Amino acid sequence: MSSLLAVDNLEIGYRDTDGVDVTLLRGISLSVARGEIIALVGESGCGKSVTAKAILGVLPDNLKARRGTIRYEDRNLLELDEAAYQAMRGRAFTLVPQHPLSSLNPVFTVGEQFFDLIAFQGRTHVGIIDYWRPRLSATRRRAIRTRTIDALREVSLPSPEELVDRYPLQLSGGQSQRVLIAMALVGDPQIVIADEPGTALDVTIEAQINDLLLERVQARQTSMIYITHDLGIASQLADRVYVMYAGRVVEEGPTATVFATPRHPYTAGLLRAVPKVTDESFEGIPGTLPDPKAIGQGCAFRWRCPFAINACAESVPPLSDVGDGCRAACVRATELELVA
Amino acid sequence: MSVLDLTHISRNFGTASRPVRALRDVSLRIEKGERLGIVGESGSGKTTLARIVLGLTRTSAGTVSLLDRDVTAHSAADRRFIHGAVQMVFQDPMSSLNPRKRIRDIIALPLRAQGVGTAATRASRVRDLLDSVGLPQRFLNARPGQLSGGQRQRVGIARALAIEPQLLLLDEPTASLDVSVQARVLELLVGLQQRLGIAQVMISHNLGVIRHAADRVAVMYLGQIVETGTTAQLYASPAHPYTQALFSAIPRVGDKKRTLGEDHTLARGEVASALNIPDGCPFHPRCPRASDICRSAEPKQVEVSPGQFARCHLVEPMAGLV
Repeated sequence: MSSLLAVDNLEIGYRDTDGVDVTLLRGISLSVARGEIIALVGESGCGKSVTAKAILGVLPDNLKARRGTIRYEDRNLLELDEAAYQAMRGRAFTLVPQHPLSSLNPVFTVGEQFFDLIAFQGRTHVGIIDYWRPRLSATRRRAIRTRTIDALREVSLPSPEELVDRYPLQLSGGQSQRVLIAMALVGDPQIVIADEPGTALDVTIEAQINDLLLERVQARQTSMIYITHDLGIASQLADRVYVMYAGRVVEEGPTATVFATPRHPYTAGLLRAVPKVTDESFEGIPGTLPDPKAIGQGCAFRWRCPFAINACAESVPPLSDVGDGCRAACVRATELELVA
Repeated sequence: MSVLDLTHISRNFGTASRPVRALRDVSLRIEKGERLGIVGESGSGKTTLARIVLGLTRTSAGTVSLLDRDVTAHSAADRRFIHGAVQMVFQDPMSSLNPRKRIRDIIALPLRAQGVGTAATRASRVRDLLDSVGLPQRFLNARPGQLSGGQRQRVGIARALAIEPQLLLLDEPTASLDVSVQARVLELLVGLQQRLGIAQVMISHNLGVIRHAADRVAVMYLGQIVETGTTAQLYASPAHPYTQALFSAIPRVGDKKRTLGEDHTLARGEVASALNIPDGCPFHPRCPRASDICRSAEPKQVEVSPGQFARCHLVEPMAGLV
């Protein structure tokens, strides 16, 4: 399967106030095929969100891509200027954000927010005449309203005709997230990037949102990059999973295989740390995430790893094939007997 | 003697003509050394319940009795009594520790407030507490900003244990932590309970956490306890459709990838507001099994197996009981 989007050896970092270079993403590679759903899993600080921001081209100003490429179709996104990038946002790739309640503008109705999106998506600048033209034309206004209502109906929102005229404050968290999903899909994107879209919601609502996303994405043959720290959600949604630790992918492969037979000690540790609803025991991983400045050479997990040997401190283990379509970045990946 | 006994607690907010019924006839009993888990979605009344136990909110009806003393009236003496017996661990370890204070002063504060011991005995108690939550002594002079989230939550636990409370209230103590760290804080809590035998009430929406941190579970929905029973009972055979819906909503590692058209959620729609509680069974608009009686009459509590109760018209009472 050829990939629609491929991130290759991406390194992102910043220079801190003392002039020291700090690296956040230390050579990430990942790819998404058309219609495929991948999950990026890992704990806070592993680089999941920075990866998503890099793909969307919305990195904070101080973060710079130092190495690597992000290829979408035949273009390297890192070389695009802002206008070309903006033309792709919402069409090539789009974002479903984490916090639904703070992602809608509270002073405009749902309909007004859709209006701008439908009328001006992909543009960096709109002059005053362009701004008023669709607003002054009754046919354009009606057409955009109809399209908005259809988009809201597609995400199973009840009575969309009334909902277009509501303000975000009048919506619940689940409804806001549905509106945001509708906004993300309105430009008919190729890739949906969902950054923990359910974590701010209640469990039963989170399950509904994930169902809806999966349904919409599969119905349109859209690809999805789903960012989560919940390994259970990754199990349910993703074809392939990338397990990240301290700015690197430490293991990747088909979701079911990776979770059933993890080859990297971090993946195994993460799986064991989840408190199960069965009697099965759980245990945490000792220690904490290393300071990105202090990783130096070697495997970033070596301080917390029960299997670390001298070789782990010498060089960064590359992601290498461990069979069953999986790759793991551990020097002992093939010799260890890991219990998930 | 029970540690805490809540009988027929109700609490309304808002005006008499438009009341927000946050708690409706809640009765709970916690025995010495028992660990109760409270599960429910936002707006189910978990926080109001916790505030009542802590003496921060009064009840509209019902009585609260702590260690056989009636503290419903919330007199100044009652509150002093409550604070000497109940301590709380907060959800967010970032905002529940004063960033300007040193760790030693944060942990010693409840001791000072309750007037326990001399400066010297308090200092040695703080050192013991640090040990018991697994933090090194070098943190004594550190400030919260220098600690990681998991370490900060350990400080919060040490502070709550300082005055040797009879009841520990834990409000989502692991929700803001990463999985690998969450498991370690949970291990600590389980270990402490085994060693000290303090009764605990843990509020959480994570059913995996509750499974390992509670002996008994109460499931709340719109201000009521809709199901209660031992952890083993509830996890083996949840009786109330809402409890079943909660279980069906949790994604588990190893779940098969879902395919189109497959319907696995058992709760439709959204949680109603406490301002506008549906007639009959409050869960009926979302319940896949609702029938006419559910729309008209409020269900009574039924004992479905010894010690397991559910508020639902559709569950069969235990044989031998009417």
